[in-house]
Amino acid sequence: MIFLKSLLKRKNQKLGSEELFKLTTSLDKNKQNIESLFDKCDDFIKRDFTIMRNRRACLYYFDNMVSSENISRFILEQLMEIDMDRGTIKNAESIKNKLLPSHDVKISKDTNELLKAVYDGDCIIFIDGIDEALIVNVRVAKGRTVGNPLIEVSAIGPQEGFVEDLHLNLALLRKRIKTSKYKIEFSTNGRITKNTFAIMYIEGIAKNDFVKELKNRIEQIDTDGFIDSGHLRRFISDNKLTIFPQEIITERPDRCVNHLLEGRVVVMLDGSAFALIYPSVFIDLLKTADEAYMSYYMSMFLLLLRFVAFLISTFGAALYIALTIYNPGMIPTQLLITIASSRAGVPFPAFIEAFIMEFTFEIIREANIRIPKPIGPSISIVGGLVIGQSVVQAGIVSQAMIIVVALTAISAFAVPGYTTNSALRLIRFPFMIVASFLGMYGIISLLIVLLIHMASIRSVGVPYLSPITPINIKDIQNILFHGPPKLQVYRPSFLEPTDPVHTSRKSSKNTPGKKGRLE
Amino acid sequence: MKKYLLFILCFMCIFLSSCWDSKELSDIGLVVMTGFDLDDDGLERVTVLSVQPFGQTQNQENVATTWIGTASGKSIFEAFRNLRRTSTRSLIWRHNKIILIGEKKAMAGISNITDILTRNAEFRYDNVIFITPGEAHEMMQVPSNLEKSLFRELLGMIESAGEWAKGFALDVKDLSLNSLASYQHGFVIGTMGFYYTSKTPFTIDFQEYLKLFWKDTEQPIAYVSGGAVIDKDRLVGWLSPTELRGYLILNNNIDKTFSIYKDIYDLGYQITADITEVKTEILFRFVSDEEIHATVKVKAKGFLTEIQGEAPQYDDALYNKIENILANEIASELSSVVKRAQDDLRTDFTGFHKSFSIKYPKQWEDFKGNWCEIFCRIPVSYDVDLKIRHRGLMSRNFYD
Repeated sequence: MIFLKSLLKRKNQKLGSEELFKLTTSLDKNKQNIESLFDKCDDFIKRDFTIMRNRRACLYYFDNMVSSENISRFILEQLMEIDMDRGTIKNAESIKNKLLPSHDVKISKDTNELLKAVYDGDCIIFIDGIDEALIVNVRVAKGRTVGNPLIEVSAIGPQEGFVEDLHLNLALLRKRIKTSKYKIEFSTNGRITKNTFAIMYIEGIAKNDFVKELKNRIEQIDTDGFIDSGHLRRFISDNKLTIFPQEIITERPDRCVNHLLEGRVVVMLDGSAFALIYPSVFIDLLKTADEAYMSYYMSMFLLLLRFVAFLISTFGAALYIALTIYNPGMIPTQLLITIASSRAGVPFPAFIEAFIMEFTFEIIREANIRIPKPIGPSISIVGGLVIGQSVVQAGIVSQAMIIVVALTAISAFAVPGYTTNSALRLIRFPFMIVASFLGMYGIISLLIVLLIHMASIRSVGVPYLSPITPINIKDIQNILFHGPPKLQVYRPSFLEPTDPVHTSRKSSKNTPGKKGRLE
Repeated sequence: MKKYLLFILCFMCIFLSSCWDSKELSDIGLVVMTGFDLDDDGLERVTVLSVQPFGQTQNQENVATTWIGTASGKSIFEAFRNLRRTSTRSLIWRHNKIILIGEKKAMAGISNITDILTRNAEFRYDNVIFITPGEAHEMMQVPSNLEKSLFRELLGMIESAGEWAKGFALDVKDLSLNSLASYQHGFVIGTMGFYYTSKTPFTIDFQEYLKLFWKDTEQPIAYVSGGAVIDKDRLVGWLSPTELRGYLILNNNIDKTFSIYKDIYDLGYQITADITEVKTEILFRFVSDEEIHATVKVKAKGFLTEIQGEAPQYDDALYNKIENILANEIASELSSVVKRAQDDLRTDFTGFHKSFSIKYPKQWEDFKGNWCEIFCRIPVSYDVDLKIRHRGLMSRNFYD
């Protein structure tokens, strides 16, 4: 009982919410308040000074987040100036208007706002006799500069990728979309970390409900903090138990722009180099940014290729098990003899054999990610040579199995998106298990279950399998078959865009005439 | 709670069947050829050629070996089951390719073979059926020469039979159709067999065999040629390779080409031509209640492939002459087959009844019961229309 009570009590307490104080006209009181708040925060810097020799003031900021040059030149130097006649100081407003040449100065009484500003890298100034504080923007970007995208590599597309600084990322997007209709809304959540979120959309294209719903979902989360956008998506996805990602995760600004123009909403989190795009459907998982830059024959071919790779990586090992154990009649005689003779002498049943190899491969893959870079190649050698060749020579695993495992593994990598192919890694195991004791029948029944599950997923209310179920021919034509501009007129209708037309039909008419000459 | 119960029920329904028919690949033997014989004591004998995957050895990878097993039983299926007595692997017939019937079994009747081939799901409809003079059991022990296994050699021969037109492969589907449609009137099944010769083909793999039996001794060699006539379920006679070709022409069954050789004595040269695009039609010129006159109309194209001796100038006259001579040759080949059917075997394996029953369904009803008698009395005339298309790469005679 006592335990329960203490639990309840703890729940009622607002964890992480700081004891706030009220600003007074006494500088000493204010100083005392804020200093007690940041007691033992050694990177919280205080600077006492006197404005125009007659009024005491104090400036606070966090070390390493501000430009010390800016503070010296545009704040201290200006305020401590004595010779110039600038009139008397009545209130904060007059200081802001007359004394501070900094580009971004705010006045606030709200201590919450003051604290947030300090966290963001602004500096705050308390002045004796004034119950308001000045917030001066002296931020400086620290961290990575904009570089190449590391995961979503594109051959001919833009070579810029997001970084961990939200404001830099927003700049990358804003410079690509030059309209007042492009809206960026900030919000804050996370009891302790107080992360800044940006929700971006294009007004007049994106459905308002998506924006409202996403904002609502982010607001309703009550947690200590968000580590990364990958962490955030766990909270705001519709179906939290599925292994299919219900959002597009991208580090490419051009891809964000493409999806914003389709009527989707982008969510970004300060401190994360990945943007989340909502709503997204299953087919989006197979698409990359490159498709928009290639001829449509090529992009259609690549989409098909990735879909086949998706099928192979999901069903390859399972089909091998099912066919060899239950339906050897379906394999051509010559191939069957070859497979069977490579199987002969292997001490394990096909399923155990497949499982050993798939599992070994997963271990090698995991080790490859975790291993320090300088000794990385050694893992490849051990994994590739020792496990691949020795296992066959020792007669523990058949050659056919090595081929199947290698094929399924490579195919999984052909599917774009880290979240997608890690989902694929998991799906194939249940299929293998079912294939081992139910054969083709098991594969088909699990596939049906999987399809039912996929059809039940929603991403911000949009059915996951659209545009295939519910079927929409125009969307299929738009998304699956990248036709010429003439056929790419509409935005995907399952996103219910406010303005459905993407490209004017006229745009394909301004090409040279039939004879191929400019008229 | 109900929801979970329902889920568990569904789960059980789907998964309880479990792995009842699973067989690991290393535990099965793939039967690729099956032979049927009749033992002296009246038991059915089944012989199988089964590929048993052997595994990997030091120097050679993926070795498979052929196992020849035989067993007898009161019925064919019992014999199949009795094979298990000596087989170390569980045998599957899904990859069976060739079915061989011994002479004795064929004479006693093949209806139970047709039945098991069509009833048993393990036999595919593309299995090919042959009858062998002698015992199937004996034939299947012929050692393979070039290929790893006898069945692969035979498959190669069956493939090339189309280019030769003296061998013929009937598949299970055709066998069942023929058994249904022509039970009363006979049909033809291809023949394969072996003969002993000291002129053996020579391959590296054959060395081992030659070490045991020196070259001078005669070795068995398998072949696919000729045919066997089945009438009312029983083997009634054999067709020579040339007769089989006539039968194939009559039945529009020529796959690709066949070649024909003719001595032309009065002009002093011999010609060989390749005949292709053969289209045959059996027409009935006159049908009355008692009498039927038939014409076999053949259309074909030919290519000159070989000329021995001095040929005159290549002109239209020569072509016409050659066309006529070769057409007559084909007609005589056809007539010899029809004669064989009418006079010797007295059964309509040539397939006149098929054309007749399609063209004259009303009269067929009357003739059906007595067709064998009527067929043997039909006068048949031959109308062969052969066109020589070209004479090969030579524009003139080699020694001119």
